[in-house]
Amino acid sequence: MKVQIREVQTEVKAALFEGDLDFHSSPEVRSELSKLADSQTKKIIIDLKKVSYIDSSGLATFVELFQRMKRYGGELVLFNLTQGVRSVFEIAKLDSVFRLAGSEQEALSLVS
Amino acid sequence: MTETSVEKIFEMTSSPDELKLIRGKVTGLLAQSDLPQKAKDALLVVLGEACTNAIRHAYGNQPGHKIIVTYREDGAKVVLIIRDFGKKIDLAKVPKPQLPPQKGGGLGIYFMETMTDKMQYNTAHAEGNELILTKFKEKGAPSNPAA
Repeated sequence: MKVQIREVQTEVKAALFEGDLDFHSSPEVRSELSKLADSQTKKIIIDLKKVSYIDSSGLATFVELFQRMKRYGGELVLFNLTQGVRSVFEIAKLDSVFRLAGSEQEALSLVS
Repeated sequence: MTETSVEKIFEMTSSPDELKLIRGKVTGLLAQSDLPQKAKDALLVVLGEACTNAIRHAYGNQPGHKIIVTYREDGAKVVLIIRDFGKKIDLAKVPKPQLPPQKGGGLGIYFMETMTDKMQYNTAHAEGNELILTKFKEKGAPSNPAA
């Protein structure tokens, strides 16, 4: 799993994930996302276009980040979900919890 | 239409880095299947969940233990059988998750129940666990009897 993080706007960081998000890779992803939450990054948008597989361990990393950000008033948007990944969010009913966007532009507009 | 047309047996060990490898092998077989893409995606998720359960719960995150995955397909269905030889897991005692989840974890069995048409737990083995996960090719086939 590759994770690239960049600052796209003031107080907005974008994370690009590449690879499968499963029980093997989720500790690394959790660690990267924890750093963002530790520094109380106000707004995070996560690009999932290069993630074709996610399991419950992967979902858990996003739920944990979401809960942490909620505590300090941060905003989180996930975007460019592949169909397979979106299905997993829907089955877990997390599509009603997370803000999901179709593009980076839309994600940015949701946190602006 | 119910004769077995494909049966492949794979062996992996209880190391998380082997999850991707086993999914890759099953992906190769599913590529030849006439299951809809959504059903193929679902089977890969439940395969991962079942193997992860074996690693985490049956083997307590200890690497090097055997997990056998059987892929079986006929004209009517695809069946995945995940066998481990670790600690027995009583699925009836696993609590149902709250949805949407408020914390990480606890969704694996829910996914296996929801994303397959039938989930069976073979309790006949003296040691370990065997999960049998079935996806039918046509709607209207028998639904999940675990429900």
